[in-house]
Amino acid sequence: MTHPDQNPSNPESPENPPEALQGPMCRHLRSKGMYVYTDGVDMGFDHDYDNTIYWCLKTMKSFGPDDEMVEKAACCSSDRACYQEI
Amino acid sequence: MAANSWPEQTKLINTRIPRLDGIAKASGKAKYPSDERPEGTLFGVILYSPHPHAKIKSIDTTVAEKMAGVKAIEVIAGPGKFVRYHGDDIAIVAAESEEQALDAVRAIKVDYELLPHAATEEQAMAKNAPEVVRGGNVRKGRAQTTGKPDEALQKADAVIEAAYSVPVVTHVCLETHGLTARWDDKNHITAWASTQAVTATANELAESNEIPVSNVTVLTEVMGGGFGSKFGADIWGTTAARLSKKVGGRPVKIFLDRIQEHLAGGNRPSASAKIKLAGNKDGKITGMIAETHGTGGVARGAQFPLPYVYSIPNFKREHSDVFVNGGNARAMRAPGHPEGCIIMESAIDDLAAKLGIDPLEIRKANLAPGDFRTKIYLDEIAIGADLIGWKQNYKPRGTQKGIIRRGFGLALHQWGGGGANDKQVSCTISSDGTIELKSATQDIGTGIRTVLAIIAAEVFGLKPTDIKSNIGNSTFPPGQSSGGSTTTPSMSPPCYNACLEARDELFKKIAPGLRGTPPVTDLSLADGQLLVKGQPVMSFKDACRKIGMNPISTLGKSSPGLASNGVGGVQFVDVTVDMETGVVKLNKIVAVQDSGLIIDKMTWESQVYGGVIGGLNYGMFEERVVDPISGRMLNPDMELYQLAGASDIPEIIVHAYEPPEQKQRGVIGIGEPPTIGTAAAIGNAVSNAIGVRVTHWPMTPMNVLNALAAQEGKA
Amino acid sequence: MKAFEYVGATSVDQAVKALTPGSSAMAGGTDLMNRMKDYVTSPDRVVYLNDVKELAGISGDPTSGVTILAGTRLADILASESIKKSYSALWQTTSDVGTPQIRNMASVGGNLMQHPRCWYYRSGFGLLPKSADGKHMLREGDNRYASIFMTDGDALYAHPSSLAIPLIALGAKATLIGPEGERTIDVADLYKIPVSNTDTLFTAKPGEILKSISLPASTGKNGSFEARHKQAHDWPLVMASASLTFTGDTVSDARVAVYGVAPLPWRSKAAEEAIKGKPVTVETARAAAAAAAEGAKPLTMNAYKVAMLKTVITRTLCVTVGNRYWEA
Repeated sequence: MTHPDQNPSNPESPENPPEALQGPMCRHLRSKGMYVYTDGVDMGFDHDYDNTIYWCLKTMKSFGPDDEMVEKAACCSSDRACYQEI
Repeated sequence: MAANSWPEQTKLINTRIPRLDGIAKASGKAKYPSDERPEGTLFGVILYSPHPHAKIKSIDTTVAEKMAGVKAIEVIAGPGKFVRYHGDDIAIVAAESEEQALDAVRAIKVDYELLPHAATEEQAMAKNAPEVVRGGNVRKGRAQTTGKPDEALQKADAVIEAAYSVPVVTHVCLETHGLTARWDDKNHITAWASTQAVTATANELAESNEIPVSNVTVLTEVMGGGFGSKFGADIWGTTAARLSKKVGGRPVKIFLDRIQEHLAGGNRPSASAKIKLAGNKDGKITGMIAETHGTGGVARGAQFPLPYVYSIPNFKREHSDVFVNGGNARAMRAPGHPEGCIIMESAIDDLAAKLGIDPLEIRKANLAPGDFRTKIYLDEIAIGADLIGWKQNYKPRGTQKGIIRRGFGLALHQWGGGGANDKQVSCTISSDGTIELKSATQDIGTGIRTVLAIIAAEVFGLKPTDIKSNIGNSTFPPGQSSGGSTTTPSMSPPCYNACLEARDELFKKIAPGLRGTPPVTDLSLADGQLLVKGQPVMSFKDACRKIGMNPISTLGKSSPGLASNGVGGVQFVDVTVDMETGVVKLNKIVAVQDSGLIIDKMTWESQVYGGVIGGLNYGMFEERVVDPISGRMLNPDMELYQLAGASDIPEIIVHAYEPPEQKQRGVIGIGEPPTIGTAAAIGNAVSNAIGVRVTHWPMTPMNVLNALAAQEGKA
Repeated sequence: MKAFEYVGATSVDQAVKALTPGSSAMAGGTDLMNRMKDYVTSPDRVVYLNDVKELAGISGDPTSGVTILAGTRLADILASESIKKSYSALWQTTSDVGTPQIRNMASVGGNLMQHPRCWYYRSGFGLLPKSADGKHMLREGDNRYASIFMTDGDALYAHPSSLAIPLIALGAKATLIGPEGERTIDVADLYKIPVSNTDTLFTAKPGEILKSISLPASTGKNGSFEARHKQAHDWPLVMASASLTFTGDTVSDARVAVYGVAPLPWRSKAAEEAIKGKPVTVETARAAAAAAAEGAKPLTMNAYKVAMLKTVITRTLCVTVGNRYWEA
């Protein structure tokens, strides 16, 4: 996707398309953006503003099987017992 | 060969064409996913938590299992599991009738260990609040700082300091969330789903049931609204599939009831801001300092853009996501933008009032230099001002007299709306003249089914009703998930290319058999006829007979130049406020909106009307009311959760901003932008009328009277 | 909803006999059905009254008095020219109820005998909602729509019947019929304050149903004014009706009733006394309204209703004499 607007104070897009993560994300991590923005990171986006809502495919909820919150940062490492690399 | 621009002369594209399924929908003939009753359907009903926070000590389904009609029960939250909000799912019963399932649900015995809750933001942010999430209920984001905001505030001619807030609003889709799943054999599933993404739903049904995604068919012929809340299969969807498997493949239908739709169907997060905005007499905004927070319930998602639209050289902004024991947020039509728009547009209006500047002028003075939208905004402000009668009608804030006062306000917004470039549409021409388009996208009300047919009809010189526009099936070529206003810009280019390629293939096949064997370049299609050198020679149908028994089939892909991204938009509102009752009446709303090339002006307008009506509900009526004591939502219905009726909806003037340079941009999505600015513009119009800022949305008599009383208290 | 036995009554006698303990009478069903679906009310038996022909109809005339049978649909009140002309307080209020669909089904009796809209009640916490640790949920919770009078007590919800307001202002009587025959009382006396969550809101004895409402002869002027949030289908926030008799331009007698401010239809004697002996002007109406608001003790969130009460009473009195001053 191309964004003609590069002004960082004018965030364009509704939610953050999947961005570069700390490590490989859990295969059960899901967000709406993953289904909508299929063609990669939106470079025109201001990354200070992220309102992505995640869920876990194992629980279909915003909490994982370990009763911890589903979050991009927390679901990109092998610290969690339920983590499965993509 | 793939196209890089749309034709300059069109017969259908950019005209007004009724949607193909309009009559079927309006007359009740269209079968929505929740209307589907495949043979042998069982009805699933969800047992959900009446408590905002509890641990399940035990759950006993033995009585329920033996009840009449009950076929299977799936426990979602078993012993040791937590429920985190009123409405959190615990178990689902599948029975022969919905009534039997309802009775059985009430017979399930759950022993809860009640845990302290933080159901409101106030509770969640209090000291020693019960933890909704480990690590604390307030998640502070990294502060954003640009320039020298403190210095800018000190030096400015005027600074306003204000607090604004808007509550959580729920999704309230007219067709509730849900699907009917049928386990066809030991590893195939068919689902009739009310979804914005047949492919996402198929993906999740496949993954959660550990079968190949190619074994899952998700069907969404039409559906009753999603607004961002219907992605994926959801817990009730995956459970419907499990229950179907359990009962040997009988279909299981689970759709939320109206209460559950409010509780668990998703919501737009709240937003609160403490904000200082500084500016000079020339109208230039020089600085902003804002602390904001909001809640997405038991999920994040309450961030929103701020500053919004306007260029502010110096700003500092800190945002916190607050977790509460409430149903979690889901993307809602332009996620974050309506909130950001309310905060920004209120502050800029209050600053304009303090500086004594016309609200129109302060906005014009602070558009981002060099931004492609700046010229668009300037044009749109001029058009909108004309349509609302700004010059004749606008009076500065605080100059109105009398009990019944009229006020005017405006707001600017922006959105992306660009498409994905990896989607496909197939186009098949059969010898009987049938043209069938296929793609695994779905029509969530945007009119994409009709849009695709219009494009095909344009290429083939036919009527849109001549085209079989088949979507809403996950096994079709990859189609766009309908979110972020991306469907039309994602699907129009591959559709156009598929049709062009199929037409070229048709010409190639039939040209040699035509009298005089004309070169393919002499062939064209118009008005249902095949033309050779511009002269009709036979009907399109007859021409198709010449292709023989094997149909022509192409798979269109996207190509550059047909779609673009990034829109502005301006809305103006005219209100009347009764100073003594606090009752606000909307008189007129003007929506001026750009979105590149409009394929169907009628469905486009319908999107803008819908957006404005959604926005006026946000501005005037909607609020999720949560009881701090029980932690329960108090208004999960359509009576006390207020929504506009027909007489609450004013005259709405929709103006498409579409000069030639817009058309040249190609297709851009329109679903979200027109819902963004409405609530902010309503708030500004109310403040203009009454001379006081109503700081809390929606514009209820209570909030208006409270604002007036607060002002009196100060005076 | 809980399974129940259904009795479709076609006569008053049959209905009264069928209304054994545990039964609920149902007219239009626009309230009862919702309570049943939400398990707020779960009767063993439902006795349907809308097919009882002897319970529907409007008779008499404004010079001697009008009788409205309890089963009369709201739409039929709106169709009555004499009610529109002589009892405009009632006509106006009726026209503001619900939607056309609701007004076609709902009856006068059903409107008068409906249960409060209080969201704690509708959520299953009862009319006097208390939390496990003894907190009064409406007092300490979200009470934006609750009462501002009688708030020292435990019944803090707002009375739900808007038709009771003009009827009380007009001095209407209600006739009940039951196993022991008929009795006639003031409309205001249909209601009581429940002392527990299992107590009733009504003074009707077991087996009694509302038979009719009698409006006295129309002598003076009457009117209503309603403040509501939505234009379309909505409940009044505050609404009032007034019935005034005059000697010349001076009010000789006044009856003022208010909706949305108390757990009973609120008769404002203070407003009545204040307007008596005076002509109705914006000033005298405002003074009466100020008197009416004295003694209001709003809860944590509904102080706005005090301001609204003053406005609504002022306008009601002015509307009654044809003065729509605020529109000037």
